[in-house]
Amino acid sequence: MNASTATHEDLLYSVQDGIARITFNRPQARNALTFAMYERMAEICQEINADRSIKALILTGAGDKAFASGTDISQFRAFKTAQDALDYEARIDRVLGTLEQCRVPVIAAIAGACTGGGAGIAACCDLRIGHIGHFNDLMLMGTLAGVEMGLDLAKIPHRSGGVLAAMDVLKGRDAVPMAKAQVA
Amino acid sequence: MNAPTTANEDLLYSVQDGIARITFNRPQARNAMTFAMYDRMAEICTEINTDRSIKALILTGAGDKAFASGTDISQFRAFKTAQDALDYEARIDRVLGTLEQCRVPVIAAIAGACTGGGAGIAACCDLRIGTETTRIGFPIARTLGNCLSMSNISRVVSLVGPARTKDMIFKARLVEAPEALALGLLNEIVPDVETLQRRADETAKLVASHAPLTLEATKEAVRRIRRTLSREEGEDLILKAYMSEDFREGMDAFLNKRTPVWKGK
Repeated sequence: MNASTATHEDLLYSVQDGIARITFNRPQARNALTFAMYERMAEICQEINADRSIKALILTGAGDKAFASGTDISQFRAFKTAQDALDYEARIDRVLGTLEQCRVPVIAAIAGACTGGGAGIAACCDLRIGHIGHFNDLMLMGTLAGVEMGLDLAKIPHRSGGVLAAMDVLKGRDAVPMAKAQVA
Repeated sequence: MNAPTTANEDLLYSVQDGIARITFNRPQARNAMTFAMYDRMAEICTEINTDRSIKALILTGAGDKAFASGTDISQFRAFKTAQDALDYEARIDRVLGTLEQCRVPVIAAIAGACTGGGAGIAACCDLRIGTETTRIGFPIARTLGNCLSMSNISRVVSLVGPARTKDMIFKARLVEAPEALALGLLNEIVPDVETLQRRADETAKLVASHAPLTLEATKEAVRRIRRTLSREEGEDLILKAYMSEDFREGMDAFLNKRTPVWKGK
């Protein structure tokens, strides 16, 4: 399968009653993100900015194993030059900046792994809802690119019934110099 | 009743044994803040800064229903121009900035509702004590359709983080006492309003006995860490909200006790 051309299968998009929903749909790859998926997500955010009928956006992953893991490693194979690396980061920054500036409230519904690029996406959302059975999987993997994610994972509050109503794990303090997980 | 001229009844002020106390005294209006009350509060803070006999300040609300609710909505009726909106936010920013920079430790004793402008005041205090009925929040997304100024929102973000700030404001929900304690919005919870006033006094006396310069330096350092963007950097946001059809709708709906219909413009 050529992931970069299969966007419409890899990223599902629907709108119902003013609520838009993006589903990362590569469960066989823990919803690892291809460039085409990143670009489609940004494109949808721009469409939403121009469409006042849409009131909120939900991001979620297909299946219960992952919200989204990082950028699909196969995408990095083509890297040859220093410029490739800079271009990659610029591209991801542009995509995530577009997501972060989406006009409507963006809610991440997170089951299972939310790692690397997936955690970066979740950090751009306004509200994050998780599933209690999986929060140990929620880790930050800044290792590939060697970046400091600067995210502070606060202690996760929970409700009886197994569903976290408001996980709020990513407090997003810019100044925290290293990724620190406090999952108790 | 002409609120601006009755400031001395609407806001009570007393000093005993070096502990100053401000009581928001409009229980019939859930202690909603008038401009005169805001201004008097700022004036008292300025007086305290030059009076070394005062060691701590307690802020509280009359009755057990509210600490303070937001700015009295009737105060917004006079808004006509963009400059009115900017002037309002500048005025509130100056008042809250003066409260935040009051030299002495400021303790909020919060029973019941602490909403909108009242929550903005509480966020400027150094210590917050609640009761089991305390509810804190900014339900503006459900009520008026306005927004918080840059300095207000930056205080809230520095207290609870951006994720929880959005959770509170997007869901237009009031945080109840146990959650407020967990978030650090409250330092402690006591059972009832009598215990609350006693505990506020005890806390004021405790901090009044400590090295004033240590407390002052800590207070100012914490304030400096919270880098605030200038008011000008938030002007576009203020104008977009306050000059919108939605804000007019929110005000009208609030005053007529009906549910607003938002248009996003």
